[in-house]
Amino acid sequence: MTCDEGRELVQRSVDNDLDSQETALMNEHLRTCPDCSALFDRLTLLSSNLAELPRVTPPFSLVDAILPRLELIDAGNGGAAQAAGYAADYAEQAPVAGSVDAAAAESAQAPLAAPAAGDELARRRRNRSTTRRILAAIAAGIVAGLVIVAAPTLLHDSSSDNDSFALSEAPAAKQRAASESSAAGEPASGYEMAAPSSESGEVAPQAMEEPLRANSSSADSGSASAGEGDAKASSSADEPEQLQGLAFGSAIPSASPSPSAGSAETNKALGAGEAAGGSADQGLTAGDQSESLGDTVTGSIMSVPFAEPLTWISPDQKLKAVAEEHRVSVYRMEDGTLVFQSVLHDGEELSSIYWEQDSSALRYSWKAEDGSFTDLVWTVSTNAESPAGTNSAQSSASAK
Amino acid sequence: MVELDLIKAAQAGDRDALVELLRGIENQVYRTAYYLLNNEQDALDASQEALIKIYTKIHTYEEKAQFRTWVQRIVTNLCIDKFRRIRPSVSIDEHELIFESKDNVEDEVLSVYASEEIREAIGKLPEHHRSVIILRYLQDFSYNEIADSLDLPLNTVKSYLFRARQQLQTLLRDYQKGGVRG
Repeated sequence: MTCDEGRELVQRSVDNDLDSQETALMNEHLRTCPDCSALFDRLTLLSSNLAELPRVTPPFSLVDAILPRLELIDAGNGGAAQAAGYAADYAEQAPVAGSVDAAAAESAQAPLAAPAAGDELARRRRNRSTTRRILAAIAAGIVAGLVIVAAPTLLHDSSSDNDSFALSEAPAAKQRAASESSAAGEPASGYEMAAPSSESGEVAPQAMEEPLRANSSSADSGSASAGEGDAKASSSADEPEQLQGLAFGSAIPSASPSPSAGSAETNKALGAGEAAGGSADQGLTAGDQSESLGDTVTGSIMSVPFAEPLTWISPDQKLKAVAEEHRVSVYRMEDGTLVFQSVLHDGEELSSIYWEQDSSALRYSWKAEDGSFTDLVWTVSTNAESPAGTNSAQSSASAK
Repeated sequence: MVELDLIKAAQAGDRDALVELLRGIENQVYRTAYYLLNNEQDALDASQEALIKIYTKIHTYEEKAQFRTWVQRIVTNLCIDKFRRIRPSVSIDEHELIFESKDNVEDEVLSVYASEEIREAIGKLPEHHRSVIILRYLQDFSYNEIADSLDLPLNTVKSYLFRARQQLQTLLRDYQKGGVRG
């Protein structure tokens, strides 16, 4: 036996993978070969050391920690499923939008599968309380103004219902923008009806104002319809009339930027789907199909938003973040002075940007050509940019 | 059997069953994430993401695969994506081993390594080697189960595992020589 063969046997013996005959062969070789014999001793020791590594357990129940997010996901999926049916009603975009929605609704098979998935999800959700649904819808409304593109960094914000809701909801909602563009005109009046219904409602309109003004990019329509997705999810169940207002209300932003919404609007809206694909990558909602579909559809489209700078106003209305080509700048709303300007990120795309809800920081993420991400955070109080570390969840949680 | 019932109920839309199923696997999910990422906070984030993914994708699980290998596939993929983003991976050549010559072997004192050292050494392995070691020793997976989880051919699993052990040995021996330990 050669030492090569001997080593292989030694390695396998460490894994208890030898039969008795092979064991005998190995032992015979070990008797005559000090090298392999030493290897046997060391690997056996290493292997037992490895087997004794502490079986670490999480310091708290992870399932308990994600329960709120799971509930929001249930609600969000309902929105996606509902929207799939919605898309079918507006048949112009149905072939494409329908399938994206289907993927978001986890069926990931074909456009036709969407309604079926919706039924199943609706069943799973049946016993949600009305209050919860309404709250979720309101939360979505608030978040709609904040989340422009589904942000991978959001995934870290495990402790915040609103943030995590945005995550679960945004992909579905954005994809829905495609199907919404034709439908959005009708229900503008619903907004006034819904907005005053809670204090959160008052925040939402402000948050949505800027996306309206900014321009008609995909990010706008995507984020604006995030709220609407959940409202529909909610209304899909038992009390449609109560929530209809909210649902329609948030449709305004996607209608207004480009009332003449031809196929261009559709393309842009689909662009938002790419963000959803990114999110799916993180595993929150959509299946593989939505990822690939998103990618195919958009590869070239995502660069469009840089044609005109996009603007994000902080929730307290004091600062304005502007995505200029390959860099982020922050201006004071009051007098337009430049507060901060990031370095140029040549060859990288801005993949997400959003303000912390308390306006304490701006988070954004650059996606390099190789698909890697750089997550950064600019803190208002220190006027400093720093990598968004793994503590982001903690800091954002404690900030609230 | 109990797990199988839970899975079926969960796939049929029973949310409580699904949550209970997640409770049953959260420790094993966390353990893999912890050793793959070598950092508690990252591991907490990643294992929560993994659990959410399992929650949303439970209907895609098919019985022909073992549930635990399916679960581990999700968590390892997530962690690999995550640490690719967090830090550049160690070059596979960096610790490529030409098996050491005889005098090295004779000089070496066999010793029990502290788990901290082992964990650190695992953290220096290339990502697939690391995954293989973790599934083998922290999930007690067989070659076949590792192959299923990582979607790798059986022979590749073996060669990764064998090489990973040799690399670990070299790394741990270097620690000792470096005077980290007396």
